[in-house]
Parts: sequence; structure tokens; C-alpha cells
Amino acid sequence: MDINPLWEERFPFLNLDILQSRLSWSIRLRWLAAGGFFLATLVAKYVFDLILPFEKIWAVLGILISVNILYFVVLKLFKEFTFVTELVFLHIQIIIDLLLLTIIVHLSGGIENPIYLFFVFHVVISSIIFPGLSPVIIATLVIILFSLLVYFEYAGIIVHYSVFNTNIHNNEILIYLILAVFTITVYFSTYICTTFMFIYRSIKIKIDQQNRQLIEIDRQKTQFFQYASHELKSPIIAIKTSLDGFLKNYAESLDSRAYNLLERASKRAGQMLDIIRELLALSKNKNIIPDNKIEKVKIQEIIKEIVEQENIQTTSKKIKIELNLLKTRILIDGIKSDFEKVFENLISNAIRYTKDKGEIIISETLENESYVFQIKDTGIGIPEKDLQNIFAEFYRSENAKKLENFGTGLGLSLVKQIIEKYNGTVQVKSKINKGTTFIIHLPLSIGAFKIKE
Amino acid sequence: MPKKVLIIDDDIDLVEAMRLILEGAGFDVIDAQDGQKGIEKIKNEDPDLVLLDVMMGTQDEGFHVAYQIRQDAHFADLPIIMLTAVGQETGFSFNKDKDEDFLPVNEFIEKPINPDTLIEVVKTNLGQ
Repeated sequence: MDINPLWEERFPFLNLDILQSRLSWSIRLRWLAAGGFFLATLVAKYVFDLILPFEKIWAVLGILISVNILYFVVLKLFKEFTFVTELVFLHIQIIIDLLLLTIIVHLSGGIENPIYLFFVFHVVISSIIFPGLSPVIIATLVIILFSLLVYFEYAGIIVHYSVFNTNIHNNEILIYLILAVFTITVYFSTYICTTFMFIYRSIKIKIDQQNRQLIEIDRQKTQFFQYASHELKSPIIAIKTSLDGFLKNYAESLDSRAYNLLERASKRAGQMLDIIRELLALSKNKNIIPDNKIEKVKIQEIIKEIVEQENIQTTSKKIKIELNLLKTRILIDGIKSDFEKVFENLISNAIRYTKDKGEIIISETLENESYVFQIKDTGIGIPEKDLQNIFAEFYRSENAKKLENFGTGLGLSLVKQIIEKYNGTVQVKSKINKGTTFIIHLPLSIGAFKIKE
Repeated sequence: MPKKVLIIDDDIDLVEAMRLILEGAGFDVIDAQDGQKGIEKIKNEDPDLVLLDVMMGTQDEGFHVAYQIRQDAHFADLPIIMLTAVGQETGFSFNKDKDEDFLPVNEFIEKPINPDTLIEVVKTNLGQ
């Protein structure tokens, strides 16, 4: 049987998980209570020499411990509780607790002994976890139980165990006063707690609603964006293909200036497609790694492949690439294309911004449960004032623009977004005209590559 | 006799651009603007190769067209090259190694296609 969804909406903190944790929590509290009571009786008996029906009290504590063992076994045996059975289970527990507490209060002096204040705990706890009228019913039960106890002892229907010889139990006016104060305390605590929980729940309901709306708006935005970028792509693809076809077939009949202009136009169309491609990648990445797309990604193979792909560039610029890869194979649970984008961006950036005959060092290390990838170039460097901005969308530093006319300014944003999705970090160190180092830390600990919420 | 290439794509400008490229390389080019017309042309005009856009009217029209073509025993060996747009995701994986059994097309290429690449891919798939 499932929870009525309306029910859960009305009482947002009242779901199976929370009740389940309350159940084990109440069992633990009960161990503590039984142990505490037992110690208190020992102190009463051996330190203060009080005269109490200790055997009876211990017997009650024995019952409390036995039922608690029973609760514990039930909780362990039947892991699959439905919402309603859990609620019923908790009610039964709290009622039995109240009965046992009443007996203990009776056995340890009745109205003489302020431990009857412990009733208030039950009232507060039930006000917090139970919905509807339950807290009021529990509060009323508490008042009835305590009043009956006091009355029966006063009327001599049951025996009064006198601990302190105060004779409160015979003092009619004092009894009225204590019962009145007790009643007010219990109901008022119930009122305060339930009111507070009501406010708390209504706020939670509102927040949940707004959250859902925000998620929906975000989904629509992403959808719109993807639609829009598809619509943007088609015309540019047609433009670029037309230009390229034209250039190929009519190259001879064009004068060089016309050819040059058209070639530039084709190149610019290509750049625009790059921007759209990266924007799309950024919008798609978000923070969710779909479970069904996760595979064991062989990081080192990706790095080697990309270095291989860039071979033409590095050879023509006479750049030396030093690869210090780990001997152990690193497998990361994730999406292969994510890591391809990360390393592609970092490696091609390093090559792009390193001058001829420069050097690039790629190294891997393992550090405190983390995989660390480092790429160090001897490139133009990033001015200090630009360092904080390089991960921002569309940002390109002045000296990068000077060296390379074109760049989307999206690559590093994408790198950062992806790495953070895997709970990792990207760091950058740079000295102008000396070079730049990017350091990626990816946690290898268990669960590190689960979905980040 | 020149080989005949059928382009199935709903973007007429792109079709014309590809026609220019392919005719320049000596191919005969015919075209169709949607999957249904494409299949009719395959039956009536017997092309030697098909360039098929993945996304026409619906997100995956191209895939359905590819299936339909392959279902006909006559065209079991007809080379089909599927054109995909940059960064496109339709819920299908475009990885050829992975999907070869799953999807009966010979090659995927990403638009925009460089003219030389287009000619080369077409020639390779025609066994030239």
C-alpha cells in the first residue's frame, strides 16, 4: 500500500523515511530512558537510602526493555513498512510508553516525584511527528492518566508510595494546583508544537511547490534553447556548405580577393557552429549524470587519443609534449564524452597558446583518494587580472584574443562545469609569458561519481 | 556512366549546395524532400548511393527511412550515408562501431561537410 500523495503533501515531513528514522530513534531513546531510570533507582537506593518498591520498578523497567527488544526485532525483521503501519506502530509504542511511565511514576512516589514532568516529552514528540488530531488525543491521554493516578492515590484506591513524606498526595488544594498547571503545560506545549509544525509544514509545501516550478521552468528553458540552437544550426550549415561548394567548383573563375572573402565567410560560419556546439554542450551538461549512460571511462586512453589527434598541430609548431601517465589504469564512472570534452579543451588550449618550440607537460598523480591531472604549458600565460574570469562563459583574456583571433570562450566553462559535476575541482596557475598550469582533482572515493544533486 | 546519388533532406538550400559539390565531382544527383518521397525515388530511379538526413519532419525520420530501405531485399546493399547535425542528440547513439548491427547505414557524417570529405566518403562507399 502506498502513501496517499495528498497526505504526504499535507504533511511534508511525514513520510516513510522520516518515520523509519523516528522508529529507530525512539528505540534508542527507550534504551537510554530504561538505563537512566535504572541508574536513578540505584542512586536512590544506595546513595540516598530511599525506601521504594525497587523490585516492582525494576520489573516495570524489565517490561520496558522487553517490549523495546520486541520493537527492535520487529523493525529489523520487517524492513518494508507501509506508511500506515509505521504510524500505527509508533502510536502503539507511545501509548505503551505512557502506561509504563504512569506505573513508574506511581511506584516512585506519584505526585511527590517530579519525574511526572517526563510526560511532557511524549507530548512534544507526538506533536512533532503525528498528523491531525493525534497530538491532542495523546495530550488528553497523558492528562487523564496522570489525573487518575493522582486521584486513585488520593482516594486510597491504590496505595501511595511515600518517598519524601511530603503528603502532597493528600493535599487537595496542592493536587488541584499541580493538576491545573500540568494540564495547562501539556496542552500549551501541544499547541505550541503543533502550531510550529503547521507553519513549518506550510513553508515546506510552498518551497516544494516553488522547487517543482523552478525545475519545470529550467526544463522548458533547456528545451527551448536546444530547439533554438537546432534552428540556428540549419541555416548556417546550409550557408557554409553552399560557400564551400561554390569555392570548390568555381575557384578558377574567381579573382583572389573574392575567393579570399568567401573563404573567410565560410570560416566564420564554421566558428559560429563551434559556438552553437559548445553552447549546446553547456546547456546539456547541467549537474545530472544519467545512470544509464555511465560507463567505466579509461582516462588515460582518452588523453593519449587526444594527444595523437593534435599531432599535426604539435608537429607544425614543433611543440614537445611530455606525457607522464600513471602506470595504474584509472577508470572513472562517468560519461566518456564528458572526459573527452575536458581533455580536448585543455590539451588543445595548451597547444594553441604555446609558442613554437615550446613544451607541454601532462602528468597524472594520485593524491589522498584523488586523481590529479596536470597540464603545464610554456605558453603566453594568463594575466593575473583575468585569472578569476577564465571560467566564465564567453570570456577570453586580452592576450589570448591577440594571439588567436577565434575562440568561443566557452571551452573552460564547459571543463569546469563537467569536472564539478563529478565533484572535482579545476585549478589554474599562470605566469604571464611563462606559461599556464591547469590542475584537475577528481575524487576516487566510493560514491564520488554519483549524481551530484 | 556517372553514378547516381540520391540526397534525402528537407533543407532545399543544403541539397542544392551538396548537388553543386557532387555534380562538380561528376555524379548525377537526384533529391527528395522527405522520407516517403525518398523511398519512392529509390524504387523508381535506382540510385547508387543515398545521402540521408537524420532529422527531417520528426526527430528520427531518417532512421525510419533507413529501416524501410533495408527491409526491401533489392536495396539491402544500397550504400546509405547518414547526415547528422552538430551536437545532435535524438536518443539514438551515432557511434557506428556500436550500432552497426542495430542500424543499417554504412556511415555517419556530421554536417556541415567539407566538400572534399563529402566526395571522398561518397566515392569510398561506391567502392571507387
